[in-house]
Amino acid sequence: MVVGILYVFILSINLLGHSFSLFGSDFANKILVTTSNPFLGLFLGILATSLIQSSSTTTAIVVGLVAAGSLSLSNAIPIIMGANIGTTVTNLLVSFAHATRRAEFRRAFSAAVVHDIFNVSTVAILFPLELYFHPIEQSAIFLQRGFAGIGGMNLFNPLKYIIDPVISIIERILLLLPYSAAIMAVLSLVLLFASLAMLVQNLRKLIVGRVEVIIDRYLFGKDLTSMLLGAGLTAVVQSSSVTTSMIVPLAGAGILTTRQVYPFTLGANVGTTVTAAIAALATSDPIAVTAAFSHLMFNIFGICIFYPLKAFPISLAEHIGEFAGQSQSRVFMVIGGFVALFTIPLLVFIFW
Amino acid sequence: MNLFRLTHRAPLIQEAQKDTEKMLELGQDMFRHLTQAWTGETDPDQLEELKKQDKLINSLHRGVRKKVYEHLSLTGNESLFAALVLLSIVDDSERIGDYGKNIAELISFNPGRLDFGKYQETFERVWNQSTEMFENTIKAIRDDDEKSALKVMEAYVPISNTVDDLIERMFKEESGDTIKREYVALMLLMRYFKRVDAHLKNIASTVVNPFHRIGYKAKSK
Repeated sequence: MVVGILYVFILSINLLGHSFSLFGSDFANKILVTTSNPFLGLFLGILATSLIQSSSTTTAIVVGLVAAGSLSLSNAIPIIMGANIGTTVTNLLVSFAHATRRAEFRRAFSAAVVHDIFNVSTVAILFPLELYFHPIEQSAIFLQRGFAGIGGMNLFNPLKYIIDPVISIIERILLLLPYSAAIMAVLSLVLLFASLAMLVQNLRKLIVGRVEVIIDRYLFGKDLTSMLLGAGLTAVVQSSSVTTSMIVPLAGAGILTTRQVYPFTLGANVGTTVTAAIAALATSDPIAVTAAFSHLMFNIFGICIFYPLKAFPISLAEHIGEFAGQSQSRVFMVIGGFVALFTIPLLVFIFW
Repeated sequence: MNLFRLTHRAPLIQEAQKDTEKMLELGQDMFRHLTQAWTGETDPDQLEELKKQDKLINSLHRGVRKKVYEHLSLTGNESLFAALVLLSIVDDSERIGDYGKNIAELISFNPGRLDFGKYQETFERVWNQSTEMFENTIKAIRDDDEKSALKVMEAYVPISNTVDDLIERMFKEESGDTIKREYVALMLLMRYFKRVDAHLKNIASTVVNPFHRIGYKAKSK
């Protein structure tokens, strides 16, 4: 069943790219112009991911658009950065479930918000650097060339034989209808959402119960093993929202500290880049693959900066948690969280 | 409890189950060593060793709580009944460990052989019955043995009545300006045994009773 869902996911990415090519060059240019402002791109990434609660979906869509030529690599990178921030909504929502007990909420909220702090801090440093020096883009291109050099780009080539005929059939059917490009785009998005949601749900059921002993052993252990656990589990389950929100209740109960949660969260950020990589490889488009690698490099650079400096995000998260745990401020934290992650990006996007 | 061993699911609960059994075995071992204490054969080092066993029981207690919470947190409500039952069992087991330590301390205040005089026979009867309750409780939990569990639950009331009767009798017969220190020790010991047996009864009841009746009498069918 997982294989079937994966097929639908890969089909939807290719279908999305195909639909955008049907829109024509004018539409593609409009998207390019809209997303050419990196700040808009950043907030678009935050808003889209906050709404759908899946950075994997956002980055998969971005990869599909890059493959279709509707989005340039340099415009895609800020959206991907924003997607990293928006994905932390799920953690915050899970922590709010602990809001009835002060100490519990303090611990849960600290563990949830440390993810936000890491992502926001990484964007704060890498976003301006990327605008001027393009370290993420350059390193992603380097990775893609190396990957292509070892034949990695051909990994999913055989899939074309079972994807392309289906896309042709769908296209032939939809061309009989008005607004066929739009219908195809909507269909591809529906398939993308549905397949990713089902993939995450099924993989979670398959994996989590079986690996609870591994989680018990390594989550309380050394940072490196915790990071690898976060990366591995998230790569398999295909959702950092699932894996990071899984451990918020453990932090709420006091079984894990924010200090212990942090390396797992960093690992989960890396693990979630697998989805975009699968989507990109399915398109066989080098620029799409580079976009996927830029997601990976954003997180790698972030770890290189904020793992040695871990005292900063951890202590900030604990201070915010202390404040959040006070009775009146719990309400404000709930409202503040929603304002920050939904309203501000929406307003920026509308009025810019 | 054997259900866990038949499936591959809930591995953390299975680990917690093993730790729970270990807690009970440690508690039983503590009480076996205490038997030697009545005869004055125990030295202070052995009593210190018993206190360390209590610390180990406490450490297992915390470990089981962590594993159960982790399991429920990660899997939702998979094996929910078993998970909550384990929490109930380890709480009772931890209290048994505490009473074992209290008894060890009491004995250390009264070095040498304890002679309870006319109450010796009653004391030994209660002690032997409590030892049997321990064995049956561990068998009930380890093997999911309802018969052993019911034996434990049925044994509790007579032991409890014997203890209450003995204490009442001692208050009547030993009134006066002074009381032998052995009799003071005996009263405390009897109360401790009654509490330990009550906890064993609670643990055994998890095998036969529905969740909301854990610790209560088995309902007759």
